[in-house]
Amino acid sequence: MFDLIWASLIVTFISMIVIFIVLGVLYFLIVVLDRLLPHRAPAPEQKPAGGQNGRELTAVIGSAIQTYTGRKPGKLTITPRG
Amino acid sequence: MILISLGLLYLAIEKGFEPLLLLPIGFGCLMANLPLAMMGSGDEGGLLYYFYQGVRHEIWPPLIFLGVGALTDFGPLLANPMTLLLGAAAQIGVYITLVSAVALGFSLKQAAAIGIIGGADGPTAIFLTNKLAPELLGPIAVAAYSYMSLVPIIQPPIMRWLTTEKERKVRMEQLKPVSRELRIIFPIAVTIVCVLLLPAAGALIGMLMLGNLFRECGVTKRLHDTSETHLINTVTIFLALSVGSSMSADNFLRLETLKIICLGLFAFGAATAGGVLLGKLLNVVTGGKVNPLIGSAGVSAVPMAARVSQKVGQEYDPHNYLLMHAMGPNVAGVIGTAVAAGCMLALFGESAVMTPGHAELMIGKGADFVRSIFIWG
Repeated sequence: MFDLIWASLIVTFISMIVIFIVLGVLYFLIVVLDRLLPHRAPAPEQKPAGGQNGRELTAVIGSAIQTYTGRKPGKLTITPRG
Repeated sequence: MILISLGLLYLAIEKGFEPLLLLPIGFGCLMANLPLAMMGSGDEGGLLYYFYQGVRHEIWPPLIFLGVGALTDFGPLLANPMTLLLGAAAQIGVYITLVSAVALGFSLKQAAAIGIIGGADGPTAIFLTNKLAPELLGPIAVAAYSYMSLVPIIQPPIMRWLTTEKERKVRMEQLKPVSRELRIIFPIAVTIVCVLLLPAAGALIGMLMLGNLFRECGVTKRLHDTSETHLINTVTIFLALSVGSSMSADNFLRLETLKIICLGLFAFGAATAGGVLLGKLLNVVTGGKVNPLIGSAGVSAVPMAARVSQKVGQEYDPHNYLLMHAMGPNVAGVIGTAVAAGCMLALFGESAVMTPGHAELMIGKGADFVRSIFIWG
């Protein structure tokens, strides 16, 4: 009986060491893999400057030009001089 | 035995004790013990004899593990890998019970099979018992599944006894998200590491991780769906009926069965205590960042043990959410129990080190090893 209990204690000791080694290896594996493959948050959705399709920005610039020049912004024309 | 089978059916239907398993186990036991029906696991030619071949040839438990893997989210474990250690610590219950069973007169192989009840993992208990002590399959399976359903009753007093109120109120940081790549590589890496280090655990760990790979890879939806529903349910029926069919009067109505039932309860308690005590240690080491209550989830009764951690934690702080933190040690416990079973098989299985005269042999080998180190040095 004593031999058996002694043997079971040895089994306990060996097995617990093996379990901690195996799970310890997995622990380091996860830590390393997590460093190599970190979670990247999905990039926020890119919105065009000035709001939807840039129309708001165009409207703001248009009204500013109108206020400054006193006329509606039309098509860009280049007048040759001299 | 017919009365016992009716008792199991009553517990399953009326009391709700693991009904998915105890009901078919009870019914299998009933069929096996009706005279002239030829439904026992040993009645060659009977239906349940053929079902039992799945246990005998170790087919059903790994298939259950495939389904368990498909159902398991290892995310909380990957987000906080420290919880792996809690899953390892809870296995001390398995070995304390092994020593106790030996002290109560069981052989080493029988004691190993009884000890694995502490792992709170039915398929692993059946897998190991079939290999080491098939004559104890019925009592061990019934004890394992009965106590699993009693986890909410067994664990809380031990958890309260071993922790202070301050420790129970510890709030843990929110878990970080885990990348998809890590989730996919993890099951492959675990299979390689575990099978290389402990080939005896290959069948269980391999199938568990295959099921998890089905879940995480995202390209095998049909296989994942089948594994986590139809396959695991079908195999559960076969497995539980097979276990029930092995419960004959000559191997169940014995004093050993009562001892196994008592040792099973002790195993659950010791496993819970082991996890909570390491949780306390981690609490000290991390400067109070770990709630020791999650340690009790290191026994692998998924997800019931994690729910118990959550429930006990909320009794002391209603706004403390421990469930996802406790899922880490919970799934680590599944791996830990499979590794513990692999250790038992390596030591007591077909290529056993622990043959008659085991103690002398092991002590002698140990002494030779130590001597060789000194001589080599």
